[in-house]
Amino acid sequence: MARIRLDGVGFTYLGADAATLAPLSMDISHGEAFSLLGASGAGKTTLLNLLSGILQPTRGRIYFDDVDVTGLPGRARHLAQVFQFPVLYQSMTVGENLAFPLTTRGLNRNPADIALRVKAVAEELNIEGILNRGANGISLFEKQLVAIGRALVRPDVSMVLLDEPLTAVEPSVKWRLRQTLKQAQRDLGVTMVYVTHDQTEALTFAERVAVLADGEILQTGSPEDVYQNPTHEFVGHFLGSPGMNFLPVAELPETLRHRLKHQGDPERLGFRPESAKLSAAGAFDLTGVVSSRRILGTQQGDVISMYGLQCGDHSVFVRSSASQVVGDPVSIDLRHWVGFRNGIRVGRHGAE
Amino acid sequence: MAQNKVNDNRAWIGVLPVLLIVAFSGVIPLMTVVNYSVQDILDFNTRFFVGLEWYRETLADPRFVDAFLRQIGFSAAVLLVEIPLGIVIARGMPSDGLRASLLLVLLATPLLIPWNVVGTIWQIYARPDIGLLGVTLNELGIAFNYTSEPLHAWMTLLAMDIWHWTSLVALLAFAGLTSVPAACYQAAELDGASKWQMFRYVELPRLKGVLVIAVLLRLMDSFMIYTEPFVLTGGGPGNTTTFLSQYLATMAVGQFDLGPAAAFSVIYFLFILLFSWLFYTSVMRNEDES
Repeated sequence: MARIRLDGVGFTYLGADAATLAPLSMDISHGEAFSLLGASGAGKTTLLNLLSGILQPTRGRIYFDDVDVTGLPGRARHLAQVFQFPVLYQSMTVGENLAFPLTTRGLNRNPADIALRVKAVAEELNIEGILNRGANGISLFEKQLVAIGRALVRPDVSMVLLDEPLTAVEPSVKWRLRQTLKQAQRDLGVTMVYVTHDQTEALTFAERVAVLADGEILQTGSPEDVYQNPTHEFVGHFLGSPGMNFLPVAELPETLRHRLKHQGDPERLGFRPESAKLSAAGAFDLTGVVSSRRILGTQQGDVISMYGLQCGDHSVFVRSSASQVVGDPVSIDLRHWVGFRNGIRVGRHGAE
Repeated sequence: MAQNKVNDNRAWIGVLPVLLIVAFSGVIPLMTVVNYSVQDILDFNTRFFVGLEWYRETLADPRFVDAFLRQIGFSAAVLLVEIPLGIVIARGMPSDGLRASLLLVLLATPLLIPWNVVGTIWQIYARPDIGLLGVTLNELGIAFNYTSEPLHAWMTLLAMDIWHWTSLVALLAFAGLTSVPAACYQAAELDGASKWQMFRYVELPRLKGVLVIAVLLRLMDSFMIYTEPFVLTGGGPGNTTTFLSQYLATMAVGQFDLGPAAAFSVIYFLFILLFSWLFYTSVMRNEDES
């Protein structure tokens, strides 16, 4: 395992005007489950290719355990990668696939040791039963498990890169694969970098998430932190379904505006659908009219609904157990909000 | 849609033209040959049934056996050279861009030349008195003469076939290689695979399909080779480069021995079928096992 450190790493494609990746620095600790989250075109793949050695950064340095690996090819970095679709050696059995990375590099490993290691990894991933099957004759789900197993099999691997590894898997088994992956990460203590555009995958897998947009890392933090306290409007908007609500401060009631003056003087106020409380009109300063209601389910006997509200010219979503009907005027109590100026967080209020 | 379906046999009328064309151009001529192969034909009106006599005679004919063995030797030799060489060329090709396009056109050129022209090109090229190759070899001190030396004739024929057909294998292998996803190379690179392992475990399994086609095409084609040796050596010196098809042509057209020639044709046809089937099933059986 290794600690991965990026020091001012930037990348500009040959002949391109703008940098695909703005110089960025980040630190991934030993055995950490780290996730790179971003929409397509954000620079995820470029960053991944820089880590795996397919591309060389045009500026900055990359360190694995304080060793400068910037100029080293992938094979010299001792890392493993799991791809979007399962990459297997199709002429080999599952067991041979798992053993393959242990037999290369001219390492004369003891066959008994290899067998032990293969068995251990297979047990971790619950694929002991198919070790003797041909790699072509197993399901997509099993194939991806084998690909993950091949990435985990080398004990000396410094990190495992996962490039949207659940893409090819059927939705019904995605969850299972994610759990297995997470479990293996914990059990084996492998440093994993999980690249995805899927916020659910990123937020449930990682201990820390880095949100990437337009070639820049906007925010790095725990999933809770990134979700609750986005440092950029983009992060608040990108995460969550629906994303964060935004209201211009200038259109808020006078009393609220006055309070905000002393809390960073934001231009826009952002709040999550679940961090507002609805009550009958008149209870709070901020008011709106119910424009839609969708029942999400029940929670401890209460019916939880997603309300669409019209606040002046703006529509917001609020998740609430209140029972209002379309057309009702309501007042909204913001328990937690984040204030932004020029898209960047300047203040916040409420639960951490 | 389903309720519009009419349950009658009118669809057969639609198939009829195809059946007629296939019968006219394929089945009936083939059956005619089979019919001839069991008869002794003296002239158009005088013929009598001889059973399997011609088959027995053909299989016991030393000239047939010699031609057959030569044929196997020739096919084996061209396959052994053309398949590996084609793969090597395909692997050396740039994967895309203008250079790749130009090289592809260049590679395809020999395939576009009519077979008798290929024969003529090499017939002149290898001539020891005026041909570039022949003269050069003689200048180098090798007494090269393909019209008198069986070994030289063979070498020239092999070189010509390799020159003519390696491109086909290379093009097929190139098409196969372009379908290997980049991630597969990347994974093998990170697994620390050597160059050989990269070829053996990443490329070769994915080339299998096109290589089976390449081997089948080259096997059938080389087994039926006629035009080029006919132009280049005329089967000589002696009978040393007389392959099956040429012997057959001599028999059927030259001597008008329709019965024996027909039996020969049927045997020839069955052998090609047998070889192709043996090869295909053995390759595909391995597929199931792995």
